[in-house]
Amino acid sequence: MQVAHPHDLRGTNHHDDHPLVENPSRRVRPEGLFALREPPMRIRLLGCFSFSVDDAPRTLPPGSQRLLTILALRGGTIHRAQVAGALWRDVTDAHAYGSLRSELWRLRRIARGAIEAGLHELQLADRVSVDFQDASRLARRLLNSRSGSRESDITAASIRMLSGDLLPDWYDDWVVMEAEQWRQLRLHALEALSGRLREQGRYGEALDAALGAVAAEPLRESAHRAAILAHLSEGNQSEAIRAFERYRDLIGTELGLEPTDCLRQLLPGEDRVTPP
Amino acid sequence: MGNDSGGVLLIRAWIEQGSAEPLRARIQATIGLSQAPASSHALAGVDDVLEVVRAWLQQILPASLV
Repeated sequence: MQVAHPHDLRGTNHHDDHPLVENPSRRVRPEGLFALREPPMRIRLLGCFSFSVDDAPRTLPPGSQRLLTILALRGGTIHRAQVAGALWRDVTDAHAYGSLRSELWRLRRIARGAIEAGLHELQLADRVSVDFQDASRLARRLLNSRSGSRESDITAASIRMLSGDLLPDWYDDWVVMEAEQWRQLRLHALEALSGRLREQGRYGEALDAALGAVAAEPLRESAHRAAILAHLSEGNQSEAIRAFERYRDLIGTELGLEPTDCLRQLLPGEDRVTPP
Repeated sequence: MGNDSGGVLLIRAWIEQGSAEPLRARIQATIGLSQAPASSHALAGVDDVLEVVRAWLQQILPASLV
């Protein structure tokens, strides 16, 4: 089956106008006493995959996990051909389409209402939320200097949201590229969040956010800078010096390099940093 | 070490402004059918990155084609 480029798989966020396709936006929903509550569904992709209905975890077979995941990652509508091509790469088109139909049938039985399936396109139902999409929006708000982040974004919960890798044990092409992009995004967002927390005098949380970025990439100097600034803002110069020395030892061992002068100059008692 | 099933090499690269060697990279590589990365390297500089990529390509190349 022809494999779509990972970026070609992004959703288009529109509904198919084909007359035979059920368009969710045109549905007449019951109201008042007769309204049926559709239980919310949640897909978790950060850290590991999980799926829940009304907060109750449901175990899904690997094929169902993969189908929900590709829709959850892309967002919006995706052509069936693109989904089939990504999930069943090494088989004929007919075989891939057949496998997709089987998987959709299976999911209807165990997770009814999770997917809206049109003649040509698929998308997650509105009642399905995805932690990765929530976290991506949070990260972009934190990094958007024009619109800025909300006050409710500057929390310890945001640090946790930004601290998870995207499906770290999945090695499919269409996951790996997204995982790497998410990793870059969350590194920058954690550093930005650390700065916002520091501005508010919340130094402990600022340090947590910075250390989250350090954990994601221990050789990244800007992450160590955020940690050192958190220590200094709190008036903790000795901790700042120790953090600097740990980083200096690490890049000395791993890369045979020294920290930049910019980082060194953050330390007020620059001459107190013991030479390597 | 030749293996006709290929492999995957992932390079994460970033720039540290103000450093004598601003290019930094972390490389994760698999060889053969293994899914999890078999090796990981932290590197600085274009030449070091290219050396690891070259060595990895040599590893996945079947011995008969070297």
